[in-house]
Amino acid sequence: MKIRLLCASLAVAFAGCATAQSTAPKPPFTVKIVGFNDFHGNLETPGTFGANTLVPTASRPLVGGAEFMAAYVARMKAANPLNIVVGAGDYIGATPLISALFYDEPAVEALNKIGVEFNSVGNHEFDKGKDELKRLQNGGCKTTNGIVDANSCKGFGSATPGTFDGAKFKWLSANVVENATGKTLLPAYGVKTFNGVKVAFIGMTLKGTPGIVTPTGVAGLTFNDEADTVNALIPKLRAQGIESIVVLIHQGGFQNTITGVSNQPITSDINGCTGDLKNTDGSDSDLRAIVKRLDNAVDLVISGHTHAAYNCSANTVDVRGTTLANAVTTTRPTGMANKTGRLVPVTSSSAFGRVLTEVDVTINPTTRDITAVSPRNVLVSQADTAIVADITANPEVKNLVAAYKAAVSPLANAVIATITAPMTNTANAAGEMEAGDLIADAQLAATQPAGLGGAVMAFMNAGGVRNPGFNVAGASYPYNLTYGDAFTVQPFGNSLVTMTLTAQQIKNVLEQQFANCNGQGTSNRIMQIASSLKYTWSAAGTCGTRIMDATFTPTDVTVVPPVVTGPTEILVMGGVVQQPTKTYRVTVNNFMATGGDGFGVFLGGTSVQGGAQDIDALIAYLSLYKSTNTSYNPTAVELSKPRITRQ
Amino acid sequence: MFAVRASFIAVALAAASFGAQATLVTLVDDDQWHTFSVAEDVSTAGATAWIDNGDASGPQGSALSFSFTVAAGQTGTLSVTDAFTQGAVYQVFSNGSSIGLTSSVPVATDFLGSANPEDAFVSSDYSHAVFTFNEGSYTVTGALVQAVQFEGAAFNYDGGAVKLDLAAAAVPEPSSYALVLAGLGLVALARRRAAR
Repeated sequence: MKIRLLCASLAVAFAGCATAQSTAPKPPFTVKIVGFNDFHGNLETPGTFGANTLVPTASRPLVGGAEFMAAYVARMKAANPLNIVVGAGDYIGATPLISALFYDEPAVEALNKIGVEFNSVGNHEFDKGKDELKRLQNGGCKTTNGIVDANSCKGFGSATPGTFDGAKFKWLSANVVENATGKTLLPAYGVKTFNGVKVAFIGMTLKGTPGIVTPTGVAGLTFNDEADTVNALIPKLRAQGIESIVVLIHQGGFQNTITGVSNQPITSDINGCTGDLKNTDGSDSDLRAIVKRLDNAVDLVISGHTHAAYNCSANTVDVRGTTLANAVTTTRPTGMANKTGRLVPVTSSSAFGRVLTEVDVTINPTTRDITAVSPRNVLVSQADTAIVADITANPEVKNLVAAYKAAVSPLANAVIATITAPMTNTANAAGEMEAGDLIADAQLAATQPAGLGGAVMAFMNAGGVRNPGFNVAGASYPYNLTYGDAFTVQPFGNSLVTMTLTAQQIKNVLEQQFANCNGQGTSNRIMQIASSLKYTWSAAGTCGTRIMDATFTPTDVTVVPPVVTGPTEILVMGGVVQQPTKTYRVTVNNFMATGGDGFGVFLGGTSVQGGAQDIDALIAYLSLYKSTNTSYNPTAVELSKPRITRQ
Repeated sequence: MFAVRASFIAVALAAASFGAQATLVTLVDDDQWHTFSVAEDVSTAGATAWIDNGDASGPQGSALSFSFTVAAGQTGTLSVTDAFTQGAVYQVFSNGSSIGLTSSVPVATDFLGSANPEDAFVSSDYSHAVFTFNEGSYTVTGALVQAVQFEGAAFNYDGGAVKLDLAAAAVPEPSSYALVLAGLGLVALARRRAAR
């Protein structure tokens, strides 16, 4: 107190040493925010893409590729020195072999060079668990029992070969709390200051993440409500003088044509907001429902997850027409109403680096608040000759991609089998996919020997059979399937799990496939099954009464062709389980075994035994067809199709 | 009135060597307010410490300190103010020793105000103080000692700012001497009364 009084006295004496600053208004300024979501490690182009659905397929340019993303970002940043690059999650996980083989270190290194600063976590950031996510954040090589994995720390994009820098951007996880500490797994938000004004970026994933990732990947974590999390942060940020607030959220919606509404555009443009992100029945999408509860302090929402492109803002365009020639584009200012009813701009940039969202925000330095938001979705077209020239002049990212491409090529190009016809991952009306049948058979084969699980059936979650199935663009048949092709369909690195289930549990898990039944989500999730099982389901049934008939035929699938080894057993007849307590050894992947995709019945399995990785099982199974000089024919009678019948 | 020594040296930022997470801002007489934050959720320096949370260019949540040098013949004046939401009081430390608190303000139970530092400093709604320094080098840190009480608990989130003025330590005119002596007399009187 003495010092304080003395200081006060001196302050009186030296009047003028603590005079107020001039309060003349400072002029507003503009900050450029570049956002993109769901990169999924697409170092190379994911193919062609049109700015809207009227662009003929043949006219759609090749898009994306890390070097093109970097060049477009550099161009945007050059337009305004006050800039930042941010993301809305799923930057890693479910990645192509060029990134996945090297534990997604290539994706992180590319994102570093693109200049990302903040990125929310998405569900796929948890594919390999929180510890691996932290390694990718902090750097260091992947080790097993203290030995560095041969495919880790290539270091093509790190400081030196043999090292991995980790992400130079910050992953944010405002709504992901570690139960052990009560704190967020990663920072809730990041702050960047422009002309003395702080802008906060709050990052989060959908609260439903635990239901769509391997449960072991999110063990010990709690995923909190998105809007509640943001709203609780607002006073904390404001107390620090932060009024400019951007939410990066890995949750999204789609441009939908709403049933019963007239004069809607039927064309989805990357800068459109058809249906205002409502579901087709007019109800709120998950994202719209979140924004509706957000505090008014949030100025902009950059979203993701659905892989859709939309620009719901003052810059929204409606495109009406049936062809590009007759298309009419009109502007229609939109946005998502927050809890006060104010329309908040909401954007998303498709996926895989196809599109970038370029947002110019105007900031009032006196109020420190964002006063205007102007987003624009930009196609990352490879047809832009100026961009091509920029890459030639600065090939750093191109060289990074090329280095990993060279490293992965010997494995990616290895032929694993010959297939006589394409097999898609498109389900028929009953829910069966040709690609899914193959994968389920492969997983049964890998676990059928007594020492490897003794399995007699296999179930595969449909969502794990990734695009495009065994349906390679431009292929002619018979086609020599490569490891790279197979990996594209099975990129998750899941492992197989064999467990004992009763006939009743098998019936129960089949019932659990249907929407809103015993913990299932809001849509059907029909599993793919190995050839030993057949069943019929009734669309007219209700939860628990849809499975009408099911039979089990013991089949050895480790030989070519598969051989029936015993009489067919009736598991279910007329909806009634015949021998409820009889047990069977069943193989699933570790995602499903721990209750993933709503299949809680698998949590009740007993005598659980771990198995091979799914990709290895697939390669081994297809190699049977290679070694016997017999091409895999998806229509072969011995494959026992159809396996699923809908009544 | 003494002349203010103009100094246009850019504010220097450096990661201090003490501790892995520390940010040091070197102050000069630039007529600018330099902000600090208190944010329990990101702080690696304690729940109430002044930290860098977008205030400088150090790691998010790192302890934030301000250093400056007062040359021979100069007097340094460090203004410290709460800003943005009202109700915070800070304790200020110089070279590790407390040099006092910012002024008393009522305990807030709601989030009031959003004034910038220059406005908050001249408002009685915000806690502030002025400290003077003679020749020497100083490192100033601070901590929140009175927080907004939100839902019955201390709300350890706040922000404020500091500003350095350097001036020639001109010989005071007789009238100024009188003011200084009067001030010192008040101090002495207060101490004597307190002693009783």
